[in-house]
Order: sequence, then C-alpha cells, then structure tokens
Amino acid sequence: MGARVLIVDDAIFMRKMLGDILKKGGYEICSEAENGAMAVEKYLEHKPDLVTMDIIMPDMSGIDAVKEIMEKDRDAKIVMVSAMGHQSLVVEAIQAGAKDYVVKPFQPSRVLEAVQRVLKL
Amino acid sequence: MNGDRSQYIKLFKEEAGEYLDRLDEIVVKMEKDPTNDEIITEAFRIFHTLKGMAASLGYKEIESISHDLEERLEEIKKYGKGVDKGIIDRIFGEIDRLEYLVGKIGEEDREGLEERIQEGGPLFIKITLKKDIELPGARAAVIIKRIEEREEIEEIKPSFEEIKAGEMGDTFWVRCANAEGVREMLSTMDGIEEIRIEGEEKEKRVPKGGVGGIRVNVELLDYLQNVVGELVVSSSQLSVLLKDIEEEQNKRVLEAHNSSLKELQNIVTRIRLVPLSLIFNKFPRYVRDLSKELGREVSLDIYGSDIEVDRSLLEGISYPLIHLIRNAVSHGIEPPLVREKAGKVATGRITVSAKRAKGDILIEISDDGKGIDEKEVLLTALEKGWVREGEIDTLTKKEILRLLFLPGFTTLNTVSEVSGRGVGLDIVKDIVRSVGGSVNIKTEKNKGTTVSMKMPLSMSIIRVYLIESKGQIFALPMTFVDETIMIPEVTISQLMGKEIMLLRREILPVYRFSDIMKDYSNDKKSKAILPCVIVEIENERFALIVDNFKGSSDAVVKPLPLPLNTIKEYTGITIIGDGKPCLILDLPSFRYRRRYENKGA
Repeated sequence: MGARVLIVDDAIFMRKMLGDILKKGGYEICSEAENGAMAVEKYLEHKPDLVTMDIIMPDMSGIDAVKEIMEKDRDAKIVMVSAMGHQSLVVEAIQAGAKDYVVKPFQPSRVLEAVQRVLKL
Repeated sequence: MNGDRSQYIKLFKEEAGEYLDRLDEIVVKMEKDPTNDEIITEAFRIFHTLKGMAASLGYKEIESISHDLEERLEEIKKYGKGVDKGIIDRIFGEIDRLEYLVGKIGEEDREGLEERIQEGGPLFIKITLKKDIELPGARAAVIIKRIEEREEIEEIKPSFEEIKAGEMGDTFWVRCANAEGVREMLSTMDGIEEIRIEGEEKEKRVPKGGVGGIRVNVELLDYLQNVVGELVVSSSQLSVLLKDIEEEQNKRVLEAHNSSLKELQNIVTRIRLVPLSLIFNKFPRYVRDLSKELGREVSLDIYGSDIEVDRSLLEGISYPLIHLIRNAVSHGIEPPLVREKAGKVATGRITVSAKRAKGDILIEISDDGKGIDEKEVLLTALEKGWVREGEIDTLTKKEILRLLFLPGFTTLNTVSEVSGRGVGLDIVKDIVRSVGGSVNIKTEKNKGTTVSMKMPLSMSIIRVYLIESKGQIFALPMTFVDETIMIPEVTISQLMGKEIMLLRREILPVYRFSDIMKDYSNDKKSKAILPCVIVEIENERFALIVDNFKGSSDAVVKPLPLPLNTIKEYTGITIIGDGKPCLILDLPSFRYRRRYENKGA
C-alpha cells in the first residue's frame, strides 16, 4: 500500500488533478481539505503520511496551516503547491516547517519527485 | 564577552539535550512505577539542574517550565501518593516543549560567531542550483532548512531576505561547521548542480595543542580512550611475561612499544581536554544577574580558567559549580547595608579559583560573606533527628559542617528561584564524588565560607598510592591521600573504645586496613613502627594503618566486571607493575563501612 496523502487546495479542479497524479503514482488519497482550518482538522483526524498544501486559500492560509500542523506534529511532512510568483510565501512556508514545494502549473513527474523526496526524509 | 557566550551556549545545548533524553527515559519509568520515590527525585533534580542552567543564560521560558515541573514533582513527593497518568502526559508535553526550545537556541542566538570561526571550524559551502530549477529562492530555503536541522548555520550569502525575495542567481553560500558532513548530506538532494567547500580565512589561528579544529564525536573519543586503556593493560601483562628475555633486540622492541603506547595514551588524554573557561565564563553574567535580583553587590574574581580538564569532568562539575556560586551569592554575601553595619565594605567578594595540585585539580569557591551559622546547622539537624540534644556539645566544628553534606539538608525555608530547596551540598558532594573527588568546607563567622572541590584531572587515568595488606596490593586514589608517615605503635591511644592518634596537635581517628577488610588471618604481629596513610575526605581526616607502602603510580582505571561492580567499596581495577590486577579503593565508601561497624560494636 502506498503512503497516505492529504490534499489541501481551495479549487476542486486542483484537488482532482493532484489526486489523479498521486493515485497513478501509487499513493492513497486519505482525505481532502479546501482551506487551512479544515486541513488542520483533517490532518489530526487522518494522520496522513504526507500533505500537499496550497498557499492562498480562504479562511486560513496554507502557511498558517503549516504552522498549526507542525505545532501538533513536528514530524509532519508537507509539500507546498504554489503559483510561480509566490516565492517569498513558499520560503515562509518552508521556514514554518514545510519540507518541499512544487510550482503550478506542474508536470506530474515533478509532483511525484517532490513527494518521493519528502517521504524519504 | 559575546565571543565566549557562544561557547557555553553550545555546551548548554549539548548538556540540556542529554538531560532531556534522560528525562524521557525516567518519565517512562515513572509511568510504570508511579510511586517510586527515587525516580521522582531524579526527575526533580534534573528539572532543577535545567532550571539553574537556563537561568544562568537567561532562557526564561526553559527556566520557568523547569521550575514549574520541579515544583509539581516536589508536591507529588510530599503527598507520597505517586504520579497520576494525566500528570505524566503533561510532563511529556513539557519535555517536548523544552526540547523544542533547546533546539531553537542558537538559531536566534547568532552572537559570538567570530569566535567560532576563529576555532577553524565553520567554512563556506558554495551551492549551485540546477539551471532549470523553479523558484530558486525556495529551493535554497529547502536546502538551508535541511542544513539547519543538522548544523548551526553561521552565515548565508546572499542574505536570507534576498534569497526569500528571489534576489539571487543560481548560486548561494552557507557557512557552517562540519562542512564535509553537510556536503555529504546534500549530495543526495535533488536540484543541486554542484557543491563546493570554500576555505575562507585560512590563516586563522590553530588551537592550542596543534590538533587543528575538527569536531570529533565524543563517543568515539571515549571508545578510543577505552581501547588505549585495554592496550596499556595487555602491554603491561606482556612486559611481565617477557621480563626474563635475555635477547637485547627483543628488549628494545618491547621498550619501543611501551614508549609509543605511553605517548598514544598521552595524546588521547590531551585530545579530551577542554579549558575550564567553558564554564567559568558563564559566571560573571550569572553572578551579576543573581546579585541584582537579590539586591547584593558582588565582585567576582576568577583564576585559573585556562586550566584544561577532561571533557567529562567538565560536564560533571558544571552543575556543582553553579550551585556553589548560587549559594555564595544567596547565602554567603549579605545585603550591602548589613555588610556596612558589620564594618565590611558594601561590595562582597566571591573568588573562584582553579589550580593543579599534582594529578588533581583543586577548585575553590570562596566568599567574604557571613559564614555558615553553626547554630542554624545544628537546629536543622536536630529538627531532622540527625543529632540528639545531648550530642550537641560533643560535636566539633568540623563535625557540624559535615552535617551539611547529609541528604536533604537545607537551612533555608523560603522557596525561590535561588534557594533551591533541599537540593544542596549533598548533591554537589555526590556529583563530585562520582568523578572521583571530594568536597571540603571551611567557614568563619562574618569572614566567609570557602568550599573546595578536589578531583583527578581525568577519570580514566589517575594517580594512586599503592599499599600492601596481608600480602595483597591495593590502590588508593591520590586525591584522598594527604601524606604517608611511619608512626610508632605507642602513639596510638584509646578513646571511648576507639583508636586515635595525635598528629601535629590534631587528633585523628585511626583505622586499621586489615580490620576494615575483616581479614584477621595470621594475627597482627605488632610492629613497633607502623606505616600510616593520612586520608582526607570531606572535612574528615583519618589515619589508615597498612602493612607496607608500595609507592605511587599512574593507574589506568578499568571498571569492574559484573557482578563485582556492585561492590561499592571499589572504584575499579588496574594493573600494577608486576602485571597483577589490583583493586582501586573507593575511600569514601570505605570510611562509611568503618563508621557503621563502629556503631554496631
């Protein structure tokens, strides 16, 4: 059984796309969340092996969600999914504890590479 | 001062980390055995130590968490009902928090970098990212974060702000220690084109001893030392086996071998040495803060901080020293007005001095404060039932001071950050003893108090004095041996059923080694002149009569194998000149054995 992933993104489209890529790569999607607050809740509920996290979302941003999750679980593995122009936000997320990132629009191979990298840590 | 701070921050981090590891272990045990007082006490002590350490560096949150936990454990101990599950969870949570806080230290505390760089350690690592990398700044941040998890980063070029804003090409620089290890770690990471180590500022001074500035795993050092110890032992056995060799050439080979080995042993000992300044340097700030808090005026003099001691010894004595300094400020030095009334200058003086004395190191902490009030000591001892009313007048000054070393002694009733409740000289004594040393106190009313700690420079090779009893050789650690004399049997007299003697106007109890060993074989042939070792341990001196002196020697201490290591009276074993094993006596334990026997009689 592949690792269990929680997908966090406010767009259903992105969640589906990421989900398809990851499922093809052999991972199990254990849950999805559409904002930061829900991400924290789902994380605690499912304890996934990995989280993909959008940055700009309503309610609670991806960065705050990273902070909250890291506070609850220092070993959480989070990959940020970010648009091209958001470098400083990605850096902030990494400082908060995110382990890696991918840039939208992405090649499926890039997503899988990042996920593998982080799961190996 | 800034430069020095980084040294002890490093030490603090390492030591606090060890304590927290230990706490994890203990609290697990506590959960299984919640009413075990010993476990609770150990956890209590560690939190207490952490509190003191954190206070000395001004880490407020670590200090307050430790203080709270210490207090909670104290309560639990008092009620004697054991620890309940909810509290265990809370303790674990707090330990995690402490671990986090300790881990974070140094990230903010970037002071004193210059000093570290001078040590020759940290180097710049040049990291070039792959050309096609998206958001190079973010990739750099990922890499930096990974390095940070492993080594303290000294400097980043361009600055982190610039990297964050994407104001960088495909190359950036990170300066940290253990550059080689970092390079190795990064070599498996994606997105990196090239990693190079750059030796900036190569002309920096080489540390004393000429070993250069590499970092070595301490466990490896311990291991190395142990192996060398084994070699020394087997080599001396070899020498005995081959001692009858006539052939000149063989003899020379053996001699060369032994002298190389001796040199190796020397080097290994030297590698492990660190200067006392590593902890001495914390004191000025600590005394300043503490005296301010307590409304005292104190000037501090420090001598001998360049003396080098074994690393493990330094770690061992760090807590006792801080504790003794705390005592000097809080219990020794009086408030300025009180001092003036007593005709003293308002500013109290505390002196910390270290000096080498033969194979030992002697550290003294003295203050010119009010001294220890013997009456108060006696009152506390009465309260605790350690002495009876009728005994009071028979106690000498030395005997009264000895009461201070009993477990749980404290004359202070208030609970504050400073007082330390009950965690007192007994623990200082235990710790110093665990590194093979002893503690002495001298005090004079209104003049001040001096506490001295004497211990061997290294715990693995110590100076010993060899004595013979009933044909067997024993080793006495030189730290406790004051002198050796020959005394006429007639100078020993009886006092209340105990043997005593007079030495330069001092009355000393006399113990016969063979009696302590309960070896009454082939009865004492009374000799007219007796070889006698004068032993000094914790404010107590006594004469130990042996059969023969065999001289002093360097001993490689090997721990006793199971189950012999459960016998408290021996610290270890060593091999003496003729290749025979010889037990090293733990004189403090022997003294107790003697005392209990006296009581039984």
